[in-house]
Amino acid sequence: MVASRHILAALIFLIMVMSCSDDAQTQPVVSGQLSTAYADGESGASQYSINDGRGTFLWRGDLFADYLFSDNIAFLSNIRIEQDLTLRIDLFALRFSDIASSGLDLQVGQIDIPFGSLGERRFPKQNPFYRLPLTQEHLTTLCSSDYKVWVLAPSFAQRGDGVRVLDQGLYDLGVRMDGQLGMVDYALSLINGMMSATATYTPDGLNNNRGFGAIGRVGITPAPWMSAGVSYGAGSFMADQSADSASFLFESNPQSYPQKIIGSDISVSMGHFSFNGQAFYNIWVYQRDLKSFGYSAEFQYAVTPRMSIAARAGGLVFGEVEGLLVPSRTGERSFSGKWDSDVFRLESSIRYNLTRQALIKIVYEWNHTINVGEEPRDNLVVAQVVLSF
Amino acid sequence: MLNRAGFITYAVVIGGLLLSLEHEASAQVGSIQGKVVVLAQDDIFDEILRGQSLNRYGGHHDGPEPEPYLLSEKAVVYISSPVQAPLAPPAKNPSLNQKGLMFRPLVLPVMVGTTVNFPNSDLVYHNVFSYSSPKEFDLGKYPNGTVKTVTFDTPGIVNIFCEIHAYMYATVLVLEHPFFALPDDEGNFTIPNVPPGSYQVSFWYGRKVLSTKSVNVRPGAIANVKFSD
Repeated sequence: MVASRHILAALIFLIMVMSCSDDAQTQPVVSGQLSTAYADGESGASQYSINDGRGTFLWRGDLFADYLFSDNIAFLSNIRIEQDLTLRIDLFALRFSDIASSGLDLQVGQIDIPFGSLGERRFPKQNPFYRLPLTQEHLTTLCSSDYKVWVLAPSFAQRGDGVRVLDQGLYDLGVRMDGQLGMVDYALSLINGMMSATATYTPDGLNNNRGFGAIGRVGITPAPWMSAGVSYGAGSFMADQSADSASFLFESNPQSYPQKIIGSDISVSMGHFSFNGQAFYNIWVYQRDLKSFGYSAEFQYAVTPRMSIAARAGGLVFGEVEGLLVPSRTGERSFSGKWDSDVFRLESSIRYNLTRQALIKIVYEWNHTINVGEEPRDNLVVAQVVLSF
Repeated sequence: MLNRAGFITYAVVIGGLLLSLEHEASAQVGSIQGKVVVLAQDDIFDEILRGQSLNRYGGHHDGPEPEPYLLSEKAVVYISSPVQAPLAPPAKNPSLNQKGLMFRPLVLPVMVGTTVNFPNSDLVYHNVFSYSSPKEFDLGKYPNGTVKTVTFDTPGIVNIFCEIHAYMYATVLVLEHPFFALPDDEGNFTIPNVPPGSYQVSFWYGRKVLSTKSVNVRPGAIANVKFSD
């Protein structure tokens, strides 16, 4: 079990670093979030349907184990486990803050990719909803196992075998630099993979990708109540192996098939109200450019000290392609049209804090797939309890 | 018309009367005096610094630098048993400041009915809230220079947090009377004008009561009590 080896190595490393010092200010800080949920969705043929529409319990744990070596050197980690018992290390990085009093921070290791402003809202306590924004969740018709576009066999996308435009939590191995100049902040990272498909690794753990993905964000905070940013990323979104097996591609070098993505984000918060918005335009360079536009807008309002309500709208709009060669039952066929069905999701939630450490939320998710013959029934209701420690 | 001699006589009589009234009043109350001694290492400030350093999503902070708490900001000595006396809350609002990504003081004793100011002295937003049963409130996010207020109308312990900075923490001790004192930096304290009687006196340090002792206050006398950890 590769994942278990990774976790074991991570734990040994943690124990080693945490035994380095007994200075009061350099103690380890362990915290986390545990959540359990009951999800009851509809049973339509859709990637958004959970457990084929049968009600089910789910759970997830996020462990944050951090260590402060000195005033400006820290180790940061997130370890996640879900009901499938697969352990994942999202964040595993050394951070050097304010290097030589320059105001620059440097992170190396498994880092948080600086695209957009998802931030803490990826964790159950801070996320008013059950899932991440649709833009981070949707699996396209570009199949991840062979990197072919299965537009004529939509069950691939319906059942979730496709590549995401933004890959959920957005973590990858690499290096990241952060800084600030007055009201402007910036972050630049170089990673093994790319935002659509973070790096894949050979059995001996080496990087499958040629070249690196470069992602950066420039933000501005003109007032405490508002911040906005522009992000850009470019790099290969498929591994060597995938490109070689994708015989119908014009070239086999994956660097010829980069992802180029530009995004913008805005956060506004005043009093009991907050808003987060994000949009991006993405191009996967392929036989024909696979273009997509994604957006997400999220509102939250604290009705009482313990109760808040939230709503989110998000969608993906896909570009049209002319003469794309796609796999079919009889081999390959030429295809013209949208390379995936546009999707739109509306979510609403109500949250109640039982204590500072425990909250309960009820989320309703309405999913709409556009321009399909028969729209799948895939709406969802989730009740979730979150404990933080 | 009062002549000069008459005026002096009048002033002496009135002055004497006032002095005797004051003496009589002070003779009817006593005071509690003493010293607190804390030898144990306090790691509250280190915890806050660690929380600030390990924060992943807060960005850079250009506001006031955090400074360790003074003893008077984290220690309170107060009567924790009932006191029979007609009392009114203070006319001036005490403050629980947000400065250097910390609440200052760490513990604020107030009399029930007191309105507390919550100024934001940092350059970033704070969102002060409490889920404690004596006073649930959520002040929302507000910027530097803004002062929000909360009136504490039920006695008890109110734990205060910032929704944005999870490591920020303070306590408002809402008491039914004004008989509390903040020790000076040497640990000396005085609770004046205490009605005579037997009381429990508690020493709050940091985030909890460290010890409680019995004292007997007699009219015109000083009751001494010493606390140590």
